[in-house]
Formats: sequence, structure tokens, C-alpha cells
Amino acid sequence: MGTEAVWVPLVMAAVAGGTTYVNNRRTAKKQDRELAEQIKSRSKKQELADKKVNDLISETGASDAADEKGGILKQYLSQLKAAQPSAAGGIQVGGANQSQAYRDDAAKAAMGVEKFGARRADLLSTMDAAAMQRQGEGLDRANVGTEIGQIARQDQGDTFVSNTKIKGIRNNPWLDAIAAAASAYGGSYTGGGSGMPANGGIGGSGTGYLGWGGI
Amino acid sequence: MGGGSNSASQAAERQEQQRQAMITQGIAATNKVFDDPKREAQVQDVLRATREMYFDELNKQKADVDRQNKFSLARDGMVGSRQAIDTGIQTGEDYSKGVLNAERGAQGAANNIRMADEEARRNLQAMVMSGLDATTAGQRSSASLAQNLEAARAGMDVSAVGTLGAGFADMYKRSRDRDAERRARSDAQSIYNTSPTFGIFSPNVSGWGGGGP
Repeated sequence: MGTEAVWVPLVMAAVAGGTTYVNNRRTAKKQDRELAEQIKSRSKKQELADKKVNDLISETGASDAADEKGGILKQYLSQLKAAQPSAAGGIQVGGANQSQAYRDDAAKAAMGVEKFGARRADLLSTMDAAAMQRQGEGLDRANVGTEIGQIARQDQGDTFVSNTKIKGIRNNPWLDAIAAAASAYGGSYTGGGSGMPANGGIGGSGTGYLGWGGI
Repeated sequence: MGGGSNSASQAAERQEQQRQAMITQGIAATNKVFDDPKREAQVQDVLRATREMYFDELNKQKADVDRQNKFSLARDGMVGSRQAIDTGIQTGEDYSKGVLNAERGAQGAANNIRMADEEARRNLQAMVMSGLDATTAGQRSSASLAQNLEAARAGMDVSAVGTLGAGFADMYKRSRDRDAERRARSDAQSIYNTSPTFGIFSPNVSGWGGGGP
């Protein structure tokens, strides 16, 4: 044997190492790209969820008890109007043998009953409106929570698919085979072992990208 | 990993920066909503309305009781007596209790609204911070909603006012009983045409026009 006993193993070792390095690097890049896509996709979904929360905050800021009060007061007054004959029924208005003074007082009293009802309705509607407004805001929050839940579930599905893809990205087996063959060939010149590839065998990517945490 | 394989970490970094900015802005926006004087004005509206409602009811009851006391004392011939003073004291004390109960109820109703607002503020901020963790946000929303319902119930609880005059009602009933008794005696005297100073139906109340010997 001549000098080839020295340089052939060196060249073969260089070829094996270089091939393994290139193969590992390409695998890592692919995984990195896929992971970056996953993060971008999550980011978009997060932006959507953030927008919903921002809209909810704006709606809460714009909500006013006056709307609720108007609605409740209208209903109260409507019921009072329907009940007015009964409410004022105890006051005897009119009658042939009643004096004009009595009739005037009775009419005034009936009006007083009506005014009392209207005032009480106004107070009650003011008391109810604030509570009802907050009930409405609570319902809006619950609804937005549900909508965000839907986005989160979609995100979980997409992340699972993306993680599965990342798991599937492995080293090129042909390049691994070339590296293994070169290593073995170089080893045979020195009379040594078989020379295992640097990345621990065909198909082993060894980059460990999986399990990206929550956003 | 080599120097070129860092697009994922760059994307993660960008996203984290966006998230932090969003949280800061969201919390500020939420605080602005709930620190708005408009919110406190709503609470003050509730306080004013509840207070007016309770005090209207209380004052109406007080006027009724004063009138009943007046007639009751007159019927019993107790005007200017020690009992009249005692009745006045009792009425005044009961009214004071009523005033305090009414104010307490009004403040409680307003406080319920304030508490609902604070709960809503915390809930919204939790939603801002939890991001896509909607389960937590949803649970908090439900809890907050329950609180709002509680606030609504408390706000409508005006029936407490009806008990303010419970003490007066008893006094009024006793007076009416005494009045009925007196009228029964009077009727019996008319039937038998007896003098109030004689016989088994002789009245034993003072202040009566024809008193005993």
C-alpha cells in the first residue's frame, strides 16, 4: 500500500462528515421553516382573538344604561296604563249628587295616582337598568369567550398537524447511506471498524424541535 | 442548529413582542372603560333612585303611622299623656331604624353595581392576558355573569321597605281593638239606655265625656 492508506481514509471521513452535516442542516432548516409557519399561523389566530377582545372592550365602553332604562320604562308605563282604571277605581269621580269641589278633588287625586305610578316606574327602571346593562355585558363576554374557544380549538388542530409534519421531516436517507458508505470505505483502508455515520444512523434527524409551547 | 435556522425563533420573538404590546394596550383600554366617570354616574343614578324609592315608602309609612297614632291617642283619650310621649319615642326610634335600613339598602344596591363593574374589569383583563386560553376566559365570564345576575336581584329587592313599618302595624291594631271595644260599650249603653256612670257597662277609660265618679 502507498500513501492512499493515509489520504483515502481522510477523504472518506471528510466526505462522510460533510454529507452528514449538510443532511442534518437541511433537515433542521425544513423543520425550522415549518415551525416558523406554525408560529405565524398561531400569531394570526391570536390577532383574531385579540381583535375580538378589543371589540368587546370598545362595546363595553360604549354601552349605556339609558338604552335599557328606555326599554324597561316603556314596559312599566304600558302596564301602568293598562292598570290605570283599577288603580284609580277607589276614587269616586262624578255622580249626580256630588259637589263640583269633590269632583275636582277626585279628578286631581286620580291624576296623583297616575303620577305616583309614573314616578315609581322611573325609579324602578333606573334601578333595574344598571343591573340589566351589566347582565348584557356579562353575556357579551361569555359569547366572546366561546368564540375565542372556537379559535383556540382550531389552533390546537392546526398545531397538531404542524407538529406531525415536523416529526415527519427527517434526514435524506440516500445522503445518510452515502455518508455511512464513505465512512465504512475509509475505515476499511485503515483496517478499522465500520465507521458509523455521525448523526447516529439513517433517518435520525436529532434536531428536537417538537413540543413548542403555548403562545 | 446553524446560523441560518432561526426563522422560528425570530417569529416567536416577534409574536411575544406583539403579545406584550397587546396586553399593555388591552389593560389600559379596560381601565379607561371602567374608570370612566360615566360608570360612576350610573352607580350614583342607582343610589339616588333606590334611596328615593326607599325613603318615599318610609315617609309614607311614617305619615300613616303618625296619623294612626294621633287618632289612636285621641280615641283612647291619651292626648297629652305619658303614653303619647312613649308612642312618639317609639315612632321616632322606629323611623330612625327605617332611615338607616333604607340608606343601607340603597348603598348596598349601589355597591352591588360597583362590585359587578370591578368583576367585569378583572374578567376583561384576564381575557386580554389569557390570549387563546378561552376556557379560563369563558369560565370567568360565566362567574361574572352570575355576579351580575346577583346584582340585578339585589337591585330589585325593594320589598325590604315593606317591613319598616311592621312595629307600627301592631300598635295600630291594638288601637283599633280598643276603639272597637269602646264602640261596643257605647252601643250597649244606647240599647239599655243606661247612664255611663252606672251598670255593668260602665266605661273605665279616662277622658270620656261623662267620667266616673
